Amino acid sequence: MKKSIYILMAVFALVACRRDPDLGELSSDFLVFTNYDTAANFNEFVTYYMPDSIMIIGDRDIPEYWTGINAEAILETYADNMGMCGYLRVSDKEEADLGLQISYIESVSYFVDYYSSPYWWNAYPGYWWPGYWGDWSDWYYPYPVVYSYSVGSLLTEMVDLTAETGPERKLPVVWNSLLSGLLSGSDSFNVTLTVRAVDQSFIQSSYLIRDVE
Amino acid sequence: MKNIKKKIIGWGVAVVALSFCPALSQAQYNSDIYMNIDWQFNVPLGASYVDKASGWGMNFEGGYYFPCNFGIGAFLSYHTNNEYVSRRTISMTPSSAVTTDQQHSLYQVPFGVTGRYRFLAGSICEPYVAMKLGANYARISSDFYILQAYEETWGFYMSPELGVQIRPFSQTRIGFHAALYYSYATNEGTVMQDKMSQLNNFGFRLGLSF
Repeated sequence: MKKSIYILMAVFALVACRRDPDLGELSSDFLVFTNYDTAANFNEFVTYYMPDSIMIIGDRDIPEYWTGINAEAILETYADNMGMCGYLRVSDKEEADLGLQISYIESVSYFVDYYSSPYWWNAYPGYWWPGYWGDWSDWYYPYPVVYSYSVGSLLTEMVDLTAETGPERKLPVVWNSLLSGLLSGSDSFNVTLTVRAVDQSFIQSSYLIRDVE
Repeated sequence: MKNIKKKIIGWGVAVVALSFCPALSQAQYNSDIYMNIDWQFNVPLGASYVDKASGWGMNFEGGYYFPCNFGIGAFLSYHTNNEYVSRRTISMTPSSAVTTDQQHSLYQVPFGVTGRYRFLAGSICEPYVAMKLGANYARISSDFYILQAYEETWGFYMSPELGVQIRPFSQTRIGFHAALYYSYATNEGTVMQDKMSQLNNFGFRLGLSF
């Protein structure tokens, strides 16, 4: 009887109780998360401004920007989708109703304390400071945000440049997206996945489409 | 479903046939105490959080038979069913959405007491019917990208069972065990908008008896 109990205990201890799913089955396509301000009326926005580079969030003390063919491919995809949604791109920030700020996360060191302070961007040098867009004291999300920041993520915020300005006023983010995935060793493949994810971010945000008469 | 029905009927016929076979019904090692260690194959039924069957589970059970062939004991089993869910867009809140593929996982650990009634006590093939009652711990989870969302739930558990203990050796209590079971649990939970409302399972167990 004792032997049986020992055998039973040994089997119980040796056999892994829970079988983890095979994460290798998951596709390489990026996770696409989007959120928006339900109070925003996107029909009221006509024009938008998008910088010609992507901000890099790294671990250096000075702002860095991503330019070149790969960055251009991503920015073009944003431009194409914004055009299909009925927005007109302008080259002057002051003429724009919306602003697109796109950031690539190269290092997560600035996000370590994110959950204790949602204003993580205050710690990052040059991160789309409100002064970049105009006379606002700060910018903010008018809705709850949940992020999992990881290396290789692309973070996009659409700000409402028609919002009231002033030293006490904040610039609202009316739409944001987070594109995240495991990067491969091939830059071109990573860009292909990113472009596909950008397209998906607009597909799942049909409320951005303007009713153009 | 037809295959499952055929299997159930097949098992039933085999158990009954073995029980009435004179050559196999000779008195063997008889004991009032029983223990089973089984590998089990579990099929979630209905609109479950995970629909894919798997053999990732074990069952441990022991008890005591009273002279009237009624037995009472305790059991603990565990089982994992996993299912890949292809890429789709999920509305997380009225304003937010996420597009991703997922690996759904359902891990169940029922435990409690079991009541049995055996037929042909002491024969090589000792069929029995049983009812298990207890609690069911169920953890549902969704793995996607590098993240996991999960919920742990508890529910009431009941499971009727039809089985047979086979003791072909006269000098030792070690033998074989086979059983068919259905189980129902009241667990409820939600992970990333996917709801689990009650658990229905069907399966079989193969193992050793002591």
